[in-house]
Amino acid sequence: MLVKAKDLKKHYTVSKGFFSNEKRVIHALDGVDIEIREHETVGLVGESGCGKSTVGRLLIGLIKPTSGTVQFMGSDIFELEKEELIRVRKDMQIIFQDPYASLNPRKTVRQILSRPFIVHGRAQGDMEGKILSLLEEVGISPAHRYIDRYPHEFSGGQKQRIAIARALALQPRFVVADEAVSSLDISIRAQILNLMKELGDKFGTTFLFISHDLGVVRSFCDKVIVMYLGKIVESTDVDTLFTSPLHPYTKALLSATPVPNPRSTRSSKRIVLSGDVPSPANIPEGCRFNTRCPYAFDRCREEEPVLRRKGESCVACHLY
Amino acid sequence: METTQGNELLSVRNLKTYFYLSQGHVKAVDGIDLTIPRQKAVGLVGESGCGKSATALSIMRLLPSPPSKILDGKVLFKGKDLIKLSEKELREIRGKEISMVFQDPMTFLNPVLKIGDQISETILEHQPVKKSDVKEKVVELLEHVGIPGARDVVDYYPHQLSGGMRQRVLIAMALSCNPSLVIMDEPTTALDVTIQRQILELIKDLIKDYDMSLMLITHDLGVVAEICDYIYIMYAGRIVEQADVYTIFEAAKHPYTRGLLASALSIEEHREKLVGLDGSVPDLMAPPPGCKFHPRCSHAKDACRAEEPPLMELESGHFVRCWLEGDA
Repeated sequence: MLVKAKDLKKHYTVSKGFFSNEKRVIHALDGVDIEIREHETVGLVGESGCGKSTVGRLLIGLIKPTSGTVQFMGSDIFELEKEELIRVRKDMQIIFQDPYASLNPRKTVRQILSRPFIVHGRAQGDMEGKILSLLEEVGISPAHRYIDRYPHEFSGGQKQRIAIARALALQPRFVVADEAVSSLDISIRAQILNLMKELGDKFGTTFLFISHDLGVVRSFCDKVIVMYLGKIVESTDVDTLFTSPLHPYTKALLSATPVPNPRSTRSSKRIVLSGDVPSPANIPEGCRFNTRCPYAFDRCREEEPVLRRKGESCVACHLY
Repeated sequence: METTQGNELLSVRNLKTYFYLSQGHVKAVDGIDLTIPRQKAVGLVGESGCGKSATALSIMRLLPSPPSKILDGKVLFKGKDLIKLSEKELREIRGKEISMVFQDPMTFLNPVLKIGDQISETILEHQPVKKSDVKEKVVELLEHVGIPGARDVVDYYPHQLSGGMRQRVLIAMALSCNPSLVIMDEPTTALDVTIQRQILELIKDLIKDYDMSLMLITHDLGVVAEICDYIYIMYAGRIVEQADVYTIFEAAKHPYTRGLLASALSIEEHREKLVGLDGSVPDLMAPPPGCKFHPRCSHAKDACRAEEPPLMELESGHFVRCWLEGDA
């Protein structure tokens, strides 16, 4: 097991208003267990505010959990000494959604891509050669023409390639891709996904792929975890999830997604969920999904279901 | 698409909109013809920067001039050429006959005005409704677009609503004067999947209920496949292919359309290797000679580099701008 998270919780306390002393607690993440095997690509899906980015950040130790543990290659990353943590961090990286924000506009590509080597004490030897081959690897070619340019001189897709080059510079074992292709045009998106797949295969990288786009997850991931309001509602392998989803929320998500095929998309019966996702500051009693679930019955309003194995899948629902 | 004469609501002929910037001029819309029939949904599809939004904004004449300039073309709407109308005459059409819904509702709602006041402004401007009755009308509209507790929402400010609800408010505003054409620019792109589904169902119902045509601008091929009857594919300021929705998805001819379709991922199938399009949209300040798509096209031949192909009709209603098709 490469990554093993147990009962992760992350709560934020915010004051009710500028002048108020009253506090309220936002339950961003409310007890999540995740296991990721080496060389696996795991998709994490759900709507905004369900805690998927929080999971990504916790797994690589960017933020600290309120409670729970994260083990990376056997060691608890929140118990490590600072130097050990830096050593472990070499093996975990993150790619963010917006390359405009994640690349420093005042640094050249050379400076951006030499940082990982400097931070981890690997700056000796032919740095320029390393950076040039990295750039070529992510398809920015001829690399020597681009190495001294600034981020604004690149298009969105190229910027994301640079962000990927930075993440993969030290050949990490684990990469969190947080909506890494969501801001890109569909043609560019396919290029970037191919690139990540290729490099992932080449270096044996394990990905946690956070996305709200189920079409991308279907083609890119081996396993899928579905989250709703800070909890996992279903997790299984990709084919099972898309062919026989169990949880009513998963079913609704799949049914809601438009399909680029006019004949099937026009004839399919849709499950239309009413209302919005409840606020994580005000989580419903019982099953978190009961306020929008078409199948909710009394028990759902009283008792929160736990994640249980059911055939190939794990699902948290009283129907099973 | 001259099949059903007299059924045209909007017809754009040879529309050219350029932006004159200090670095040069950008041919954002470069000779576009398109037709929107009554009660039909027409999609305008392409990557960012290919001129989709500039086309919509030119139709409404909402682009700031300078730097933009409509150089040529006609926009015929119910027999009137919108390009020739005065600003005053245009105001009679905008919001009343043609209205728009944008991607990001928060930038189009005034944050310091109540929802009700923002919607009633349009109604009072265009319709013979008394000030005392306008609130009832607004409540009715909000209920129609599926906003729960519409009577209270009238007194809310935009920040008190969720993204999906704000988009409903914009749609209510667009529908307030029973327009015959609504232009929607990426109306669901910023929304979550289940909320997007609610809005899509709403849009489908509205096309049925109101005597209304829709021009939908999007890069989401799933949404287009579901909503639109007829599709225009735009690339670098030009229409490169147009056909009914089934032809586009099942028998597209232009390599660009095929590339787009190949990069669209579906939840219905797992694809091991994605085949997409290489490269990116050309700089419209210095577009390539010949066919504008040739640098990204794997089938490009000499003719493609030398001369731009005309839009040729392959079958009735299916047009394509490509040298590989037809007898050329």
